[in-house]
Amino acid sequence: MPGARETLGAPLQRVIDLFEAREERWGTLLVLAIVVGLLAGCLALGLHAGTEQLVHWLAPLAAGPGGIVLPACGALLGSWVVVSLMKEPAGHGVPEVVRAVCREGGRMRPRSIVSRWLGSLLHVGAGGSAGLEGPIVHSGAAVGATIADRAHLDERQRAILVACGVAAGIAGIFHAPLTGLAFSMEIVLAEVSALSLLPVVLAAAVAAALAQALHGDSTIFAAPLELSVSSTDLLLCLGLGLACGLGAVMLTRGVGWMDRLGGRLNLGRLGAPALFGVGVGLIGFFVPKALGDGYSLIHEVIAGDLSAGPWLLAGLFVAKLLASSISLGSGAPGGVFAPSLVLGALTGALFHRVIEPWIPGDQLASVGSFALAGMGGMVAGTLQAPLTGILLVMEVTGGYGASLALMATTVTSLLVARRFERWSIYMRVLAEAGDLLRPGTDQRILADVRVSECLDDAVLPINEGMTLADLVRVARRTSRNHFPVLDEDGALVGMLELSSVRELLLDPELARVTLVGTVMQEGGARVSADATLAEALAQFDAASAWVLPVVEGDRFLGLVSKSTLFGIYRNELRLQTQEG
Amino acid sequence: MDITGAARLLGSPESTVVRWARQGLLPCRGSYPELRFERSALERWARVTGMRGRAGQAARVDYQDDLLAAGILRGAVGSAQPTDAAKAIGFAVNQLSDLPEEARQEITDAVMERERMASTGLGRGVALPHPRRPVERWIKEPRLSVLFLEESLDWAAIDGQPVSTVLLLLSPSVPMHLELLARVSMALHDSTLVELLRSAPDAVALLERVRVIHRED
Repeated sequence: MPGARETLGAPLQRVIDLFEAREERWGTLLVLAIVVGLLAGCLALGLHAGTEQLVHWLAPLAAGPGGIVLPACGALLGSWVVVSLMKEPAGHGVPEVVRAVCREGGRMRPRSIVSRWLGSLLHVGAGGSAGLEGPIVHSGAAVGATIADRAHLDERQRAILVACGVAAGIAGIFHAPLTGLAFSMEIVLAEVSALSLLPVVLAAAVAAALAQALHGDSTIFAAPLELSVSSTDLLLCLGLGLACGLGAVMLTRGVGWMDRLGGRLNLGRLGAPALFGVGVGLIGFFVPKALGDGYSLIHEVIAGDLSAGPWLLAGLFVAKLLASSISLGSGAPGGVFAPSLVLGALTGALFHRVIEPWIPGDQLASVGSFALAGMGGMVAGTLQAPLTGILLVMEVTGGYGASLALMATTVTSLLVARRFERWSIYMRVLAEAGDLLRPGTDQRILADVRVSECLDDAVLPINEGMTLADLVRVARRTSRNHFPVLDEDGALVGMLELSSVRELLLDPELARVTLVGTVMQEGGARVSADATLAEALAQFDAASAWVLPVVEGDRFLGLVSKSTLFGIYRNELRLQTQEG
Repeated sequence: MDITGAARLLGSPESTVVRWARQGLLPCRGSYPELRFERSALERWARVTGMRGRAGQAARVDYQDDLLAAGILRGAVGSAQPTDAAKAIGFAVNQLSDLPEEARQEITDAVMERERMASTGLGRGVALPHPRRPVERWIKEPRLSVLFLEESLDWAAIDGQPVSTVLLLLSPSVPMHLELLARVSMALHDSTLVELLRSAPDAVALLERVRVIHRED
């Protein structure tokens, strides 16, 4: 283990050796998980502190008329950092991590550690209505990936360290290790095994402990969670879940709509953030609370300090929904997690306000409780991560007694959201691009391998003017049964399978007067050389064939057989799961 | 239905059906060996899962059919005295009087095109003209036009012998053409038939011999 030995010294190495299990390098993984946890935790704290500071410095500017263009400047600068300076794709951060794990073995560039970190600091600090969680997740993941590369880990272990970074990021932000674990498992890793669970828990715990040590507060949204197992509360939570689910759909569709609008207006990757940023600034001029990541608004709502009637709350909701949709849809760096929390809190408060007249005071939980439950529900609906939603609320409030009520809210919200949106806001873009392929799964192998890797070009072609008697002479030189029929330019005009003309071959008289062109199969299925295994197998099924010709345009390249495809598939399976 | 019926319906071996039932993949009732299945449930399952089973491809041609006899019945038997191979082909095509003029022209052109590429005289006085590719537009079922030449003609056959029997073969598809050729091949191996052809028989006699050959196969 060259990496560990160099970086950590001999005594630690001996400790590691105690735990090393075969080639799995468990011990190394655990130690590195701690390192990742510390680093990602620092990044999380740093970003929050930095953003708060920037907001503080810009406050006088924001108060004046310049406040309308401030979010636009922040969005523009932030996007510029990510897209032009660091040359990374725009995006919320989390989808990029998932794509890296699914398609690139978790490889991420070291610059990703700072790219979105810096970009979102500028964007959100200047008022952009987005969250810092996605960028922190992105940074943490990049930390994990970079360390994995330095330590020469393999794909599976790298994916685990990436998950460690993700979990540590979330844990550091919310001081909630289990939430970090749930998030990384539900969204990034999508696999749970003994090997992957422990390092991730370790990283998350370390980050949460660090955050606690440096930040002081034991919980970030401290408030008692008064929801109990009473039937009133449970029924109300179901209703709240319904509201959250609908709200989640609104946010998901709003972001998607703005994203498409930006594309249609053809503003470019810097133009969209700038222009949309002005829109955000305008909203912020009338509703300042809709700007930024909204944590202060959440605190207000939970503490019950926000004295607002239902209409005002609804108005705040709409303003935040619009501002977030615009900010996130513009492509400026920032995440959707915080906006979901804000909208969830507002939904909860609004729900509470609406229900208030109907339920006697002593049976109704506090507005803060509903706000918190709403936050969990909205997370479950927007991210389609119910466990994360439940654990987040439980951990930040210490309210484990409210688990049943929380579950009612989050699960209802998830079901409602899924009724309208197949994919979460994170996954939609990936799924549409066909990138949502989990490692080691069937679908990924079938999508990764191309036909060009499987084709057999040691084939004897024939032409249509030949007689079957000529074919007999050719057939003697090969053991194959399938012959491509080509014209003078090498273009494929048909296929001839020996078995279809077997009886004729045995009759020399008829064989001499029958031309290949008369008995060949024209217009049969052809496979393209850059088709994936999945596409090729579908063609085999449709044609009920075992051998098909491979072409590039019209030009014949070779033959591919179903049995070869399966052999290659078997090899890849062994390679990618490393269990064979 | 029982396991055997289900296996037949799904086109898979009984052991596979039993395994699917055990794994909870297949809708069924009871437990092995008294598994019971419902036809509609199985059909729906097959449709939803896309299981087409491993039943072999249905034979496109039923081997019970006497394709040759049927082809002759749908075709024609006659004699003529054309002056060359091209005219002989024209006569053979025109024997199919039910075809419109346009069809006969198109078919004649197609057969001549093939004939120009290579002679269809396969020897022993028999020629097998046919179009290079099936003429699907006009030919919906296999048809044979048998033309006996009162004076044998040079057909540039492989064995150099002149041709006295012209068997014009018309098929709607390549597989049908292959099958027809196979039947012709089998028939021409029967020395009695080859002898009979030299005597320019009428349709009845020809069909009788063809049917005998088919029955013996």
